[in-house]
Amino acid sequence: MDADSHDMASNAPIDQNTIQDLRNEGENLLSDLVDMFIAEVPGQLATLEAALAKGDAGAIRLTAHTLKGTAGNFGALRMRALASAIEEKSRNGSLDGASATFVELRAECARVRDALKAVR
Amino acid sequence: MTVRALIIDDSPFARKIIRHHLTKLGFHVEGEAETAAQGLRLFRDLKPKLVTLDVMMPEREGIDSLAAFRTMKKEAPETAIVVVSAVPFEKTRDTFLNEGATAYVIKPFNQFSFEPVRQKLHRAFPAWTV
Repeated sequence: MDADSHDMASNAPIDQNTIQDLRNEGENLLSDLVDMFIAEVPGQLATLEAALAKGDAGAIRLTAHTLKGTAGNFGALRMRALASAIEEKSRNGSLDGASATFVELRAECARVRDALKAVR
Repeated sequence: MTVRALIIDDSPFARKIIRHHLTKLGFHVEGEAETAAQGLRLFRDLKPKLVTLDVMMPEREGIDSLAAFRTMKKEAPETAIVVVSAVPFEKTRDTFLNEGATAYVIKPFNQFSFEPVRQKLHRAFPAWTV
């Protein structure tokens, strides 16, 4: 999926309906998931960056897929689209532009993290 | 009747959310695994009546999700296996359902994801009431 062409209703880093669904579940589910995001994503980004530096397509695909899944849980559409774009590049065997997309992804992850901190 | 469950998913986020929903439905989650191979070992050890299995896990120790699924259905055909997937491919869904999966759930989860699962599990476990 091309992140720039992804049809998004807004530029919000996370989907508030998704967040509300998680909040409605109670039992600290939302705050626990936010804590997990803060704890897990930096390591996933570091793994992805290292894999990109090595051109390790398998590790790139796996880590980008993981980040895509993480984004999906919060309705983080742009983060999901960027991770998906990198996953597709690795799947197609052409990593052209993947490093530039990674820079965008890392910035978007920071936006998502800040938005999640505000709603936990 | 307490139904014991095992979650096999490489995403800690998915495991957390699935555990939450299964617990809410009245299941007792006895174990979690992050690879199909680890899940198969826990399956043999814990003998759960319900397994949730992510289909998009990387192969580890020569075992992927479909292999683990087939082994579990062969060793304990009565086990209910709910397949979890991030891709709504009909072919993948049909493969698992035709081979005995109890239900097929698409990630990411939302408030409606587990209702059809709950209904199917009620049929799978008639004595189970929540």
